[in-house]
Amino acid sequence: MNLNQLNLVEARQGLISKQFSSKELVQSCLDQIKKNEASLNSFVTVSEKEALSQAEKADLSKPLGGIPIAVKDNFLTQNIKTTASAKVLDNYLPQYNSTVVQKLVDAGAIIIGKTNMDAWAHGSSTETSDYGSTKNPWNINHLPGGSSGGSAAAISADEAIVSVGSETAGSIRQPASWCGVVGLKPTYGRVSRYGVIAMKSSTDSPGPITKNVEDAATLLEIISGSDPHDATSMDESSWKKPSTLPNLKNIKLGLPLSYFPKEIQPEVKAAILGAVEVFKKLGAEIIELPDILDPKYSIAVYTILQRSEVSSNLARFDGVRYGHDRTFFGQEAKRRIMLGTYSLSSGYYDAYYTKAQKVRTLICQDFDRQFQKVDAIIQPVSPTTALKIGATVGQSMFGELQDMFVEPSSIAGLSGISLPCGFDNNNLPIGLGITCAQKREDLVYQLAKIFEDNTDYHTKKPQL
Amino acid sequence: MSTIITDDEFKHIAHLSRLTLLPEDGFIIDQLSQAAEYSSVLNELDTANVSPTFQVNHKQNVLREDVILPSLPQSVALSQAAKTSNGYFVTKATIKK
Amino acid sequence: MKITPIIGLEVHVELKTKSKMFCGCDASHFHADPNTHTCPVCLGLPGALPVPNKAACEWCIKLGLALGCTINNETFFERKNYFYPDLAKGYQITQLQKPFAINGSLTIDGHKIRINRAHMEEDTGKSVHVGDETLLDFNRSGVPLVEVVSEPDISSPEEAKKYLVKLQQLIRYLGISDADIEKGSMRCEPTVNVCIDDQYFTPLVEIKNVASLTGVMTAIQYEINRQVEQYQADGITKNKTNKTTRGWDADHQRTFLQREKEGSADYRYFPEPDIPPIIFTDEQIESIKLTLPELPDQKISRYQTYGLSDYDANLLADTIEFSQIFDKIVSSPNPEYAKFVTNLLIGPLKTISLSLEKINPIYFKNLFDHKSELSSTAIKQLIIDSYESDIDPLEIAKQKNLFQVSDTGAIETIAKQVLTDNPKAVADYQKNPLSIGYLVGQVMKASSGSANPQVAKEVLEKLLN
Repeated sequence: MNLNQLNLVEARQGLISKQFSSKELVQSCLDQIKKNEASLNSFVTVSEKEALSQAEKADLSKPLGGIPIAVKDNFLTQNIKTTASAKVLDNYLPQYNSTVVQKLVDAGAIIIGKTNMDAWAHGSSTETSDYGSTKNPWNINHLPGGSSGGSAAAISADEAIVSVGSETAGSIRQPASWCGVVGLKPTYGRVSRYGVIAMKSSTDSPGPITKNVEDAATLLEIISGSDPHDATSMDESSWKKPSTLPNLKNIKLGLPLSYFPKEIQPEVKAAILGAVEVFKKLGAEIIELPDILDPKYSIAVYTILQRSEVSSNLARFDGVRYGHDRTFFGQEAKRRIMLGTYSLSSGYYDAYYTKAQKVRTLICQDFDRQFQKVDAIIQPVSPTTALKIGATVGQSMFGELQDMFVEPSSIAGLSGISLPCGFDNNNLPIGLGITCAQKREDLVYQLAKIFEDNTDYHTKKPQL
Repeated sequence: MSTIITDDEFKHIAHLSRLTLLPEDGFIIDQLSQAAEYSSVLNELDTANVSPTFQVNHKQNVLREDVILPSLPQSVALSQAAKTSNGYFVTKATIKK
Repeated sequence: MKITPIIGLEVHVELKTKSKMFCGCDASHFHADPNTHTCPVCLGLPGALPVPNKAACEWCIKLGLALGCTINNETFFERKNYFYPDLAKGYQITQLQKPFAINGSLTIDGHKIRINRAHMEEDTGKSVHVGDETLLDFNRSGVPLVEVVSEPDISSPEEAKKYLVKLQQLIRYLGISDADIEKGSMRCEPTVNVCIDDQYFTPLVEIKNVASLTGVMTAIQYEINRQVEQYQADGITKNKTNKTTRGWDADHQRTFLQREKEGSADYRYFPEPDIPPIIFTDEQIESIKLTLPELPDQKISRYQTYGLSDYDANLLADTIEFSQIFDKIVSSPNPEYAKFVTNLLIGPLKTISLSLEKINPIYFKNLFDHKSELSSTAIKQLIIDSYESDIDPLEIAKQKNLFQVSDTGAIETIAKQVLTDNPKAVADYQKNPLSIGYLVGQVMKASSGSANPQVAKEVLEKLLN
């Protein structure tokens, strides 16, 4: 096995026991990047010189010491170009580190590069990147998902050991499911948003995208915690991974019936139901949730609120203090801004904005009710496996419809994960979604870990 | 259910957004007109006695003590600007607001 | 034609907190080098987030309470979206639906001016136009502002000025802002229209760029005149969409049109998702109320119970510092003493800069108790000398031999001699009693200034009649 194919635990063990150096580990990832970037396009920026120089000084006593990490390009990295995959920020060298990046750097991680994404995180495919789409390592004619497509592809292709992405409504979990890796969306406020280029401020959640569940949990421990710079961050200090796994006989898992519409790809449905069987065999009680709120309401709520916030969040980009002027916005960004400006203007706002916020309350209350009956919800992450390149063209509501199964939990600020649970007939990965109440990453981790320990889907790698 | 957006309204929205629309962006006007369609599904739900959720993690009173913290050095603050002069950012003149 | 001016005032007050409204940058910006008090937050860098200043919120509540407002227990911030190069984020964080304070008032000469709201917001950066370029300095970006909006209850330019003076005084009493109009820490925007013959209303005009109290009055008067003339020419009355903005040109003493249609500025307000709501309980609001100092109107009433005139009471209450000095000296309603001290404070002591710590009430009391033995000129000098040297004025008087003789016996002796020596003056007195001044002067001279002139006069009159 090449060094770049190791997971975090293996890589750390190898470094500490001096089987190899950080420089060798970083070089192995850089070689993989060089070999595959032409076909994958996972990265906007590769920090070759800087990463190797840091590897030489790696402090192995730190929890991520010597480990190369790929960072989604909407996290500000001081003095490393940060673009959000948008030409407007083509030349932007941030003057400060986002809190997440600062924590990673303080933990000894080495930033190997900034990963590609849908420009401004506006999408679920990475196709709207101003730097060209990233390709899915499992089949380069297919999309990796988005908006954290670059991070998911980089992990799937072993171009980095671990990575971070961000989710507004599906942007961690969906690309993780399409690329066959683990994507953990923490509770809203668990991880600081300070220094992450804002998309929809009220649901943006930075989180790990990794090769397995354990790595995701380790990364969450490091990047989580209250931040005085972010007024919406939780009061709690960093999250701590539980040290034990529960007996599934005491666990009730919910199956939301409205998350299995007839349009769902049959292999996806079969894989999720197969995962349900795994849990069942281990003793969990499966309870159907027939009355869970239909995801169609979440689509409307998300669309209205997201567009409104996006149009406002992109107002600071005027090319005066940094970046280029607004003529550099791509078409998708312009479309979203226009829709957002319209959503907030007088008549429309009065009719729909407050209504959307009220329905948001209903969605939260509905989840509260469901979590009285069950401990966790088992669900599909995406209705399909990775779609072909070009699938999003002309589809104005592509993202919102694609993410329908994860929008409800994003709107409610819940915690959830996607992990590999099968493949379709074309060997494209399928992701299993496990969703829990706010602040219950402990249970998300435990259930995901149990599933992973009892299956081997996560060990499969794409043939590049 | 659609709302007809006139060309003038469309131009006004583009102006409010400070966006230069190209001919190929013209399709956006149809999307604005259809915006009410997907939103109307919300009317199926009764929200008469429901208060809106602006803050999903129920935080409140996150306030900062009145203490001075270090600012960015002037050179750093200016470092990413297209044009500066004597410590100022420079841009084309605009009409007074 | 009957003309009734209708005037509302919108005032922005720059709070003198140490740090800015949403970040820890130094909030002082006067004379600082450009862009030296900025950070990712107030510079609007990507990914930066606002965190509200607790003191600023409490001070806004304080001002609201001082204005008799109802304080909302739950408030939140909103985004006001518009583009201007000195607005770093492309939106201003302000308040709309739930401001901190609502429904207050300020009374001017018995006329109650209602106050609609007092809310918190952040200031923009500064733009300087040079040729066809604009220079931007973000030191002021993010400084806390309280916006106080009155109802259109003000009925004249003079009343507008009085409102502003009173508001300014209140703000300075609370110590929350310098409220200096010339320096820009208090900015006023009048909105003016006119009611003609009790039935026709001219369109609303908001006046910007007024930089002094006199300017406010002149601009409002100019605008009233202009609107009447305009109405006579075109007969156009006020409607929902014809409010305009006009700038005040102080050099040419006129207003000029800035924006055609105010209504087209669609600010697209929505609640600020980055800042959770702010809750102040009744108890917390009450404890803030307890920190309010005695306010000007209350002070003036109290001073009047001391027997002071309205005029004197107003002078003493002019600034909180001045009134605190008076209160240190006079602590109970003693009209004669209160008047005595007032005269010294607004007279001789006005010429020097006083500090509260240095004021010694005993010195004032001593002078008061011995005032019959000292000339009024002497008293005026003694209070200054005793303040500056911190020596008991009676000591100084003794050293300088200022004590006057009031002993009628001694004075009588001198007076008799003066009368003998000045027969012409005596004759003048018989014709014109007011000419006694000359003889009083002679007694003073003969006593080397130590005679009490009042007593001297009385003795002379007794001898002459």
